[in-house]
Order: sequence, then structure tokens, then C-alpha cells
Amino acid sequence: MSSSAVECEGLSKTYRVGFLGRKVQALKPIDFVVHPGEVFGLIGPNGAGKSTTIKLLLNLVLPTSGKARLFGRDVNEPSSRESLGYVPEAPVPYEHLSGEEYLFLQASLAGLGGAASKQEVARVLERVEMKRHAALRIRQYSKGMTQRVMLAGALIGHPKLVVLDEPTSGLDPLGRRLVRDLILELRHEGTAVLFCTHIMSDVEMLCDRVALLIGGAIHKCGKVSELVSDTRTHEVVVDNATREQVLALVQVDDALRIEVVAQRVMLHVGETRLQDVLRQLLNGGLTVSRIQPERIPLEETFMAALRTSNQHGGDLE
Amino acid sequence: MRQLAMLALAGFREALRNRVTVVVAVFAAVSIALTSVVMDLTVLSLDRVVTDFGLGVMSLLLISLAIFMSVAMLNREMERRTVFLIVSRPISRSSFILARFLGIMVTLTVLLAAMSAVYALQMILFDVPTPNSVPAAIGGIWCQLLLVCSMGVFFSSMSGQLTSAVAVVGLYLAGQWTADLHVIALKLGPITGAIARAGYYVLPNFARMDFKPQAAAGQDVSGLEFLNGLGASVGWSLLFLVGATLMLRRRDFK
Ligand SMILES: Nc1ncnc2c1ncn2[C@@H]1O[C@H](COP(=O)(O)OP(=O)(O)OP(=O)(O)O)[C@@H](O)[C@H]1O
Ligand SMILES: [Mg+2]
Repeated sequence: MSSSAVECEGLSKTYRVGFLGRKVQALKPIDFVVHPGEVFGLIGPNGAGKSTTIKLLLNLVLPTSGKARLFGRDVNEPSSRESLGYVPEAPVPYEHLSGEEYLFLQASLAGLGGAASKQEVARVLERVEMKRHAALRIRQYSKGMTQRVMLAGALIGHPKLVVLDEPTSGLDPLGRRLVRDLILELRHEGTAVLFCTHIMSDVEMLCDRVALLIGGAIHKCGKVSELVSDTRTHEVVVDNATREQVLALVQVDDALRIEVVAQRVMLHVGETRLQDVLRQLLNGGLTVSRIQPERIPLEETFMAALRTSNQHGGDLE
Repeated sequence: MRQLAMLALAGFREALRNRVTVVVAVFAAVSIALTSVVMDLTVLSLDRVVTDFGLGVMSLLLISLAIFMSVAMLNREMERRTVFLIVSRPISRSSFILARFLGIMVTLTVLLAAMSAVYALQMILFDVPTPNSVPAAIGGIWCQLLLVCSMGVFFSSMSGQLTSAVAVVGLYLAGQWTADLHVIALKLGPITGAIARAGYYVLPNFARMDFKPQAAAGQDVSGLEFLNGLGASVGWSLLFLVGATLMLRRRDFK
């Protein structure tokens, strides 16, 4: 009996499309593990196979090869999903139900009944701040409201694993914040979270580990810190100065570039030289008006990986 | 088990919210309007016409609805991806399809009961004596609904809505004449005869569950006759449902 929340070995998927059953390889054999209580991010460009991976884990689509297990149980056993919450990509719930009725249905499917389900539904509605709209039909919900109710459904019964396919899509900034807080809270409670997203800052903020999927293969997998290149650069803005004034103080090299825009000088400084450059500028009597990291490092890694691999997902064979 | 019941009831609720109940109103309107017309026109064996007509309209409406609901159910769930939200719970695909099937059957049974009440009212209204075999005829309609639904679910587990609907309608119509196939087989050549005979054995025989003619003619239906029809219906349905389960088990939800 394995103790991993998610475990897949050589898991692959080739879809057959059209009348002739042409093959589309969505996922090459992949292996990865999600430990209990861990937040695991799946990232990758459109069509990389993220949703396919998730659907394989929930036995919604059947693997072409390989095996997947949730908490040590093969995914083709319904009992593997006993402690699972799931929100699909762009979910379409039963629109004739109200948010509350939908959650009661989910609670009963999760095996809760009577008072327990009442309590759970109230709790999760409160958690996603949807209590006010609970009695409204889902048909009348906005996209973000629907997404919130779906999230609430995934929280029912305190699952040990929550799988979210692009949970923040369609949400306003407050909603995004809510999802981030929710994920952190789940992690705090010891719930494993597997989610996929395109938002790198979310990944950096939330994930213990990430897998970068490109063209249906895992390009990189590891701790966020391991995936991030340490060549972080910062943008340093000096107001009311000329290029010459700045050049007199600092030396231009690989780790420093200079740009002039209107009355401002912008320096792009590598992590290693940042402190020195700041000291030199300030000691030279210039005013530094802004310092900010340029590009999120993970995004940089992501882009670099994309450039180096010429693979695309879903090639027709 | 509890989950199965909840899911079946959810299906019933969905049907109600989608206003399937209008068919009862349609039934009441059509059958009462046309019966009134018929009453003015025919003098001959009026009771028979009223009895036959009501049962006929009831059966036609419900069988059409059964085909429509059973064939659309799975495809709609797959298209709208609502199936993801159910099957990602600890529920097997077989339970899912069984629950959905039961949901449709609950709906149809309730509608059949409501229509029967309207029918009974109508018999009193037009002062027509109710033959003893009317309950058997209504039970027979239920048996046919069961069979039609399971066929719809079976075909839609492996093909699209239109194909499935055509297949079910085809089998339903063929099922009205299977008894004749046996007779026809005797008059045909050896090969065509064999095919006709095979058809007789292989096709579900809907006529066996149809007690409307007896009801209209005022004849009784024996318990054995009824059980025969019920048995055929339940047997075939189980077969189709098992088939649907096997098909669905190998299918991607995407
Ligand atoms: N039902 C399907 N039939 C055929 N091909 C499919 C099907 N679903 C996905 N694919 C193909 O598999 C590949 C991976 O798709 P998938 O949905 O897993 O991508 P994704 O990483 O989730 O992308 P996105 O970020 O756009 O959601 C794509 O190339 C897609 O064309
Ligand atoms: Mg996706």
C-alpha cells in the first residue's frame, strides 16, 4: 500500500478522433507523484496535456498505457475517489439546480447524509462567500459565481485530495485571492492539492512542487526553487538623471544594461550586482525612485523551456 | 445504494424542472377533445373507440417521450460535461447509468400514473364502462416503456442521439410485428425464411406487452399472459442495461 496521494507510472493517452480513428497523442508516458498534504502544480502551454493528465487521474478518460493510483488505489476502482474533490476546466453544472441544491447533491454523492450534509453545505457556501446566492438557480449565475460553487463542491467532506483544473479562470481579483487563500488553507489542513494553471505567480506563491508539461511530456519536475533559474534581474529606475551621470557611477557589463526614457534612466541589473549598484547610485547623489523584479522567474524558465523544445501537443500521427 | 437513489431522484427533479409534465396536459387536451369529436360522429361501438383511443394516445406520447429522454440523457451529460461532476465521485460508471435510467423510469411512471388518472376521469365523464383489462393494458404500457428506455440507454452508450433514436424506433416498430415474422418465415425461401425466423427469436416482441386490443375489445387478460409480458420486458431491459454498462466502461468521457 503506497501512501502517495497521486502516483502515476508510464501514464499515456492517445485519443482517437474522427471517423477513421486517427490518433492524437495527447500525453506521452509520464511519471509523477503527489505526496499527501502537498500542493502540486501542473503548468504548460495550451494543449500540453494538463487536462488530459487530470482526466486520467479521475478515470474520466482511460489510459492508453500505464497506471495511475490515488492513495494507493487504482483509479479504475471507484473507491479511489472516496476522498477527492474535483473542479473541471470551465465546468458546466446542472443549471436547473440552485447552488445549494447542487451542493446537496454533491454531498450525497460524497456519502454524506442528513445533518452532516446540511452542515457541510453551509460550511462550504460560507467559505466561498456564496451564501447570499445559494437559492438562485445556477442558470442565473455569472461565470465567477458558478466557479465558486464548483469550488465549494470540491471542498465538501474535507477531502484528502483536491484536483483543480484552472481554478482561477473566470474569477475577478477577489475571486483569485479567494482561490489562493483556499489552496493555502487546504495545505494547512494537510490536504493535497493538484492544480493546473497558466498563472506563474500563483504557482510560485502556492506550490511545493511543479511539473512543467510540454507537448505531452514532463519537461521538468521539482521544487519551485529548483525550477527557477537564479538569474533574476531587477529594473532600477533613476529619475531626473542623464545617461552620463549614471555611467559615471556604474559600469555596464553582462549583468547590467541601461535604457533612457524621457527624464528617466532605467537599469536592468542582475541579482548578483543589485546591492552594489544601488549603493553606488545612492552614494553618487542620485535618487532611485523604483526597484522591481523583472518578469517572474518561473515564467522565464517556462519561456526558456518552450523555446528549447520544439514539441507541440496533440500531433496527428 | 443511497447515492444511487439520490441520483435517480435528481434525474426526476431535472425532468420536472424541464416541465415534462406538460405531456399530461397534452394528453388530457388531445384525448378529451378528440373523444368529444368521435362521440358526435360514431354511434357504433362507441365505448370501444373511447377505451382504445385514450390508451393509444397515452402509449404514443409516453413511448415517444421515453425514446427522447433515454437517447438524449447520456449524450447531453457528455456534451455539457456534467458527467464529470458525478463520475469524479466514488461512483462506478454502471451505477451512474443505472441511476440515470431509474430517474427516467421514475419520471415516466409518475407521468403514466397521472395520465391514468386523467383517463379514468375521462371514462367517468363520458360514461363509458371500464373493461377489466384496462389496468393490464396500462401495466403493459409500463413494460414497453421499461424496454424502450433500456434500449435507448444501450444505443446511446455507443452512438449519437440520432442514430440511437433511429435504432430504438426501428426496433420498436419491428417489435410490433415479430409475431408475424414467424408466420412469414413459413412462406419464404430457406435463407430468407431463416433470417425471418432468427428475427423472431432475436427481436424483442413488443406485442407481448401490448394489452390495448384486449382492453378495447373488453376481453380479459390472464395473469399468466401479463406475467409473460412483464418477464419479457424485464429480461430484455436487464440485457440492454448490462450491454450499456459494458459499452460505457470502455468509453472516454471527454
Ligand atoms: N477529446 C479529445 N479528442 C482528441 N484530442 C484531444 C481531446 N482532448 C484533448 N485532445 C488533445 O490532447 C492535447 C492535450 O489536451 P489538453 O486538454 O490535455 O491540454 P491542456 O494542457 O489542458 O491545455 P489548456 O491549457 O488549453 O487547457 C491537445 O493537443 C488536444 O488537441
Ligand atoms: Mg486544460
